[in-house]
Amino acid sequence: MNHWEYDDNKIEAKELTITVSSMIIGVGILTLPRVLAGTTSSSDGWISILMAGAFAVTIAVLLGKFAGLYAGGTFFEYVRSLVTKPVAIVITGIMCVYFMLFLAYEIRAIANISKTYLFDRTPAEYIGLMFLLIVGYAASGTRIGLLRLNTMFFPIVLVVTFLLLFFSNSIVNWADLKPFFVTDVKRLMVGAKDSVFSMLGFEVILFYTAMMKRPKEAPLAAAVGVVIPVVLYVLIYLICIGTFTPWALQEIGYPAIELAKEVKIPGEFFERTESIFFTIWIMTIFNTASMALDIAVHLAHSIVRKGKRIHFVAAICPVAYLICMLPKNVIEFALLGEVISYMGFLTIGMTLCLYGVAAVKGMIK
Amino acid sequence: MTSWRKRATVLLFLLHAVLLSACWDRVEIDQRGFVAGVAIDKEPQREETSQKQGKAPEIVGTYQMLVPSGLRSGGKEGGSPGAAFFNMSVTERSIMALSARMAAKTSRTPYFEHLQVILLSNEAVKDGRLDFADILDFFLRNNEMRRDINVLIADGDAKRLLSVKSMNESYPAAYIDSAINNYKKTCYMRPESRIGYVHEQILKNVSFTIQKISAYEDGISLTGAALFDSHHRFVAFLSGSETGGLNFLKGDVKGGVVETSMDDDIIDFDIERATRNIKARREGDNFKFTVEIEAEGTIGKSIRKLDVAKLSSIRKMEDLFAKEIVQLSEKTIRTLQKKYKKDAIGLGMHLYQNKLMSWEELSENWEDGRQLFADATIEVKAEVNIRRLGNINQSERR
Repeated sequence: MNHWEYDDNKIEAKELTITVSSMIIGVGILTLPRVLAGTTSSSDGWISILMAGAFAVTIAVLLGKFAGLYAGGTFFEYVRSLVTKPVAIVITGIMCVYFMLFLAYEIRAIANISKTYLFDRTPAEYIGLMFLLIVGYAASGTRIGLLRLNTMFFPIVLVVTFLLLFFSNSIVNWADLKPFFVTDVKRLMVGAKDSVFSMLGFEVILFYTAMMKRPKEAPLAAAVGVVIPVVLYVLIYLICIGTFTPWALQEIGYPAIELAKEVKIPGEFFERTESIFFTIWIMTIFNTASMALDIAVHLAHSIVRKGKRIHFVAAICPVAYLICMLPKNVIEFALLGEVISYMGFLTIGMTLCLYGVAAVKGMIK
Repeated sequence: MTSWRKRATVLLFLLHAVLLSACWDRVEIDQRGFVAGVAIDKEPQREETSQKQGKAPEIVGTYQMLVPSGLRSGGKEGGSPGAAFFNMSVTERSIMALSARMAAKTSRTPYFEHLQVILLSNEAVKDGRLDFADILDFFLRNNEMRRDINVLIADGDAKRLLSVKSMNESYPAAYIDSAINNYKKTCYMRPESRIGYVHEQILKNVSFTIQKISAYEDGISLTGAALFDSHHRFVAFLSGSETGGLNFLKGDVKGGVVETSMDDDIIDFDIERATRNIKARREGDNFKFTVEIEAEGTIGKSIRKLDVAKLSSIRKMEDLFAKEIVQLSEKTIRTLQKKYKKDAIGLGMHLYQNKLMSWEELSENWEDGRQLFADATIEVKAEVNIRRLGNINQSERR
């Protein structure tokens, strides 16, 4: 059997954009409209999303610039040259754990949602295990293959989501968006914090910029990669408000899926829109999960510098699986999500500190 | 080494075949009992005993289950009239328990994905002890359900309505479900009340209306509406003409006929579309609303004395129809303000959306407390535009 070799294992700027977008779009948006309807009044949550978006874009640009500093090398090696080796091990280790938890979270989320909407009797443990096995299989292949898979799935996700939003026009009551600008700044900030939680994942720039042909384009590519989900989130949020009214939206578990259940595509041909929506959403969660695993593996590998990728996949998957099955119910699970989100802030904070160190040492031209 | 590896691989594949090939959720389609309609009534006899025991009152649930083979052969042809469906009733304290008990009684497990209508007897929702939201909770929570199931309030026995003669449809639930959409043809019916809509109204804490269903000769009638207060308690039924006025006031008219008399004769106006616009002005603690209704359509029936080709007679008719619409609406306003003191028109919601400051100040006293709604001044203005005359000018020459 002949293996087709790409003449280069490099990605372009637009592929990085798609990678960042696919990483961000995960399970967060399925529940975000409900959370925002609870923290902000009327339809003001869009301001929170935009605020969070502006924050995320800024950070993404900074991370992109930092990642440009070690193009060709690995994150760990560069950090080691910046600070000492033990510190580098701690920082890289925390990031590795963060991405592993991220993976665990996505797996449990997909298991929960699939059990609720698709497999009534199948134990959630098995759904999660099956999903993890496939993710593990994806991550044990080449890294570039994973990114190309993103490029393939992402347009489908976008098209189906926009079609869904387009057809939901008939069930949206636009008057429910009124009144505007009635939430005070404090609650908008809380909403913004919640929105940032579902935008985490753009830290992948740190690890995929190294694979770019022209790393200088990374900050811009990352910024665009964040803007796409932000726009999508605002649209989904507003349409959810218009469909369910802010009062009912607060009480609906997974508003985005419920929205897909409500939408009727004219012609009576597609009666179950949610099944299509569900399929493509599993695709994007698969992308997110496999990239999280890939990065966890990559980081662990870069510290240890021995063994093959598959060994690390085999080591990390069981741990992630055990962690994801720890929460007893959805409320504990939401708590796990929060912990992971704060850890995401921690990793971003650490990276920004490292960027500062690099600036002080005069390593930025 | 190699042979050991090969064996391990083969073993692994075999294990895969055993462990991965399964399907917990497989239910053959002929094993499912498709529930098309649900009727909820209050159990009348045992009411007193349960009250003594301090338990929730018992409810009678009737499920309309479909028989797919009966549907395929064209329903009523050949076989007995009820071949496409059967109804089954059980008595329990909660709806979830109803389903469990139902499963024990039928050969097929109830499957709700294709549920079309829920009929609630007004007896069941009138009683404060059987909370309306609690009844709907099961239908909202269960993920087989969709938020577009239609809810109707039955005048009297709901169970009976699931066994009416289903004209033109193969089973009563489908008959009711397609009749629901006829609000586009008459303004005496409320638009469909999807369970999602009802859920929203309950959470908003506003008064609202739900479609009413009642037995009419050997079929059903959907004119009228069931009025609920802001604590989602059933208040009363609105009559057909009151519902018509409410539709004009809420801007829900999608079609229908306005009838008025002209020179001791009847003329009809066929509405194509109607819009309404509310203006609110605050005067101290009182509100003054102006509801502007604009309707356009065709002449449905004229009278022989009139030459409709003349602009003056068109104007005259337009004024008469507008007056009729205003009268209809004002009657509804009187009923809602004076008799029930419930703001089913949604004026409070209008204040919330457009005059938030005053609303937050007064919302406590809108329906409850000082009952500001009942004292609000509501003025209705109507404008009718007759765009077309129909196929003929006159059916008889003077």
